[in-house]
Amino acid sequence: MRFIVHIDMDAFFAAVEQRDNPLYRGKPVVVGADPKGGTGRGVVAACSYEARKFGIHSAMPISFAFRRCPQAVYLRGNMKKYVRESHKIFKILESFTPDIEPISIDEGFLDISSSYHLFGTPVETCRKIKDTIKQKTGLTASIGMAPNKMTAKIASDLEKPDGFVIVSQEKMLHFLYPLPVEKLWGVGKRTLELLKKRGIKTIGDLACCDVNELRQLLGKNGVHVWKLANGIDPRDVDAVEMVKSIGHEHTFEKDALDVQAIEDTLMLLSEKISRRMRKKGYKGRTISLKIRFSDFKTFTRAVTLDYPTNFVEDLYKNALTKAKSFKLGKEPVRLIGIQVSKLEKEPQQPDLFQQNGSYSPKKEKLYTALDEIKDKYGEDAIKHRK
Amino acid sequence: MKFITKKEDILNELQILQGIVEKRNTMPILANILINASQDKVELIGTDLEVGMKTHFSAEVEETGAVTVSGKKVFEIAKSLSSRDDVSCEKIDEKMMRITSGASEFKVNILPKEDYPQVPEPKFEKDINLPLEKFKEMIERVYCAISHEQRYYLNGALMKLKNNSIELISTDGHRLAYTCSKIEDLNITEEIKGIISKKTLSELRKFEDKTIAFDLDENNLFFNITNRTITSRIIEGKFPNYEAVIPKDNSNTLTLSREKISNAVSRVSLLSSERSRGVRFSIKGNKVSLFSSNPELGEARDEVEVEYSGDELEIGFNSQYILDFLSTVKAEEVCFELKDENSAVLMRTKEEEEIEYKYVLMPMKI
Repeated sequence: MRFIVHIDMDAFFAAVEQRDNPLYRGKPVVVGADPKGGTGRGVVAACSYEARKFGIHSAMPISFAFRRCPQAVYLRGNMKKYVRESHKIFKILESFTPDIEPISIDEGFLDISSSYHLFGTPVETCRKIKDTIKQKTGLTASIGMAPNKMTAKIASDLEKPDGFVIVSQEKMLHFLYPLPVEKLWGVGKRTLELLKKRGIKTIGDLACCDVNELRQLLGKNGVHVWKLANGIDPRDVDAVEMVKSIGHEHTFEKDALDVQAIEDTLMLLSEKISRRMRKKGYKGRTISLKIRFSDFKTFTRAVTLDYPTNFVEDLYKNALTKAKSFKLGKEPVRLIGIQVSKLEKEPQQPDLFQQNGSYSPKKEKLYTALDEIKDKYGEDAIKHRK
Repeated sequence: MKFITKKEDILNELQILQGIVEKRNTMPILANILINASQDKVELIGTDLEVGMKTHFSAEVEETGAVTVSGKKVFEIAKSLSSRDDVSCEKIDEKMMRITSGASEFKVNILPKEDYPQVPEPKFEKDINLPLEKFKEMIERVYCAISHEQRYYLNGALMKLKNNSIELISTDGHRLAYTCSKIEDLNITEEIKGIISKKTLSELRKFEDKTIAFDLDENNLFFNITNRTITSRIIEGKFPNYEAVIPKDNSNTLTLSREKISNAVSRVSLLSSERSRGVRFSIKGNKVSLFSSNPELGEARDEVEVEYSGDELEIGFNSQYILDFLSTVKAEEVCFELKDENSAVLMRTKEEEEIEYKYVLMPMKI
């Protein structure tokens, strides 16, 4: 019998700000880009529950948020502070179990199956975790506990904020069945549409479907969501820290028609990512470009190399090639981003014969030296020529 | 076509063809062999279009003719038969061949011999004979470093024949193996050069005799002992400039007991990361400290006494590449000639051996 816990901090960035500034308490607080009186660009990173009442949610364009609630407190945020708080929280979690899978800065899974007896029953352990976080950081977390990850995540979300939902093995299906089907992982917009057409609205409806029919309707994913609907999710809490991708994106001050400006931005993003990857010791094989046009149509295009890299020129060249497959300069670009995935940390075997694309320790030395110059004299001290 | 032969006679030759016939089903006919019965012998041919083998055995031929048949099935059939009775093969019609032995009978599907690809015909007029045992030892020394990747020109070993020497060179880009043997008068006037595919080398390792006859034409290399001839398409493409990467002035020489270092590296590599297999060598005074770690498994250390007078050095290697070298040589003591942690290392036996051997390995940052 497994006891899986999902912890999700409530409106994390906004909550930290409200904690530190009493004036913000009880008010709608939005952390994100500068709204500039409604003309601002960029997105909402987090917002307080007071702000959510106005229909604001994270990842929403900041201008939309401003239109809905101009009186909210708009903050640019302080990432350093949030990271510090996040470390504190994960330290607390570590005192309860070593089996922790961080999902993001304010969210993670815990497997307390083999450690709860040190703290009482599983439920008492969850209560203690929640109380300790509140006591040591002044922040509230929503907690869900269930026999598997999927149910635990649904549970933590159910009574947010300050939620505490425990789902036992016996009551799991009873708990899942009445919930709307879109609560399941893997049921996105398109899947939801297809399911709704068939009259499948709740998780229970889905669980009662014939799995072969679902396979025909949704392919592999059909079998996956059917299993989840039946409470089958054997995935383990993966204790090894898994960084899956490293990326950056940039929203233009004004939708960009200037190809030069787009290229410059790609170079800037490449430099940032490249440096961050080296700092963390990562190399990656897949380079994805994300582009959003002024009409909010968003596309991603990716290329996978046969060698892992973190060199600026590799990131830039490949991202640029992908960007050029769009009509740059014809349609205004709102946002552009690069992401590197398929990361690895392995040491690399250099080649005896230098050739294009092969790993070169000399180049690595050069880049490390450039990183050091930037560390000392700032980001603009030395730049890559395109 | 009809012939009668002893089980062992046909089985030995079918066995040798198993390494040649194509196992992947790219062209179905390549999974077949050609059986060609002439007056008093039966010829067998197998090919994958890159490497071909022609061999023959003696038989009582009642009717000449040829068929092609699945190389694997006819081998399995021959192997399964009792040794007491002779084996008879007979073409029934355009579609079937009958194999009988005692009370056993098989009818196997055949394809017309016209469908079988032509295998080039060597002449062996140059009268070049290589000492086979020595040649096989040389193959052993370069075999592990042959690449199996997209750079097709690395999927074999470069052979250079001069009148008084044989050289074989292989590389997978990470390491390079070079071997050279002095020979007396090979009957060669002009240097001969060509890339031999890994498959051919692997087949040559199975051959046994004193010498092996060698010949070539524009596109193929030929090797022959008694009844067996291998045809090897010369791998096209430019072999990399290997001479440039063999270090010449690495001043730090490390002398090690082959057995001791080999055991220590094997031990420490147990906890190296699975893909890079990295092991770090810290060389200081008369001691090498070995270290490997894997965040998912743990870490391992070991120490080996050595002779060393060079600069203090920390250098990492793929342990598999080191072990490949150490298991290829037989000498008691080996030397690593080092420059710094980024430059290629030259590995060799301490005492010079009759067959010269150099193994060049690129270190990696760990």
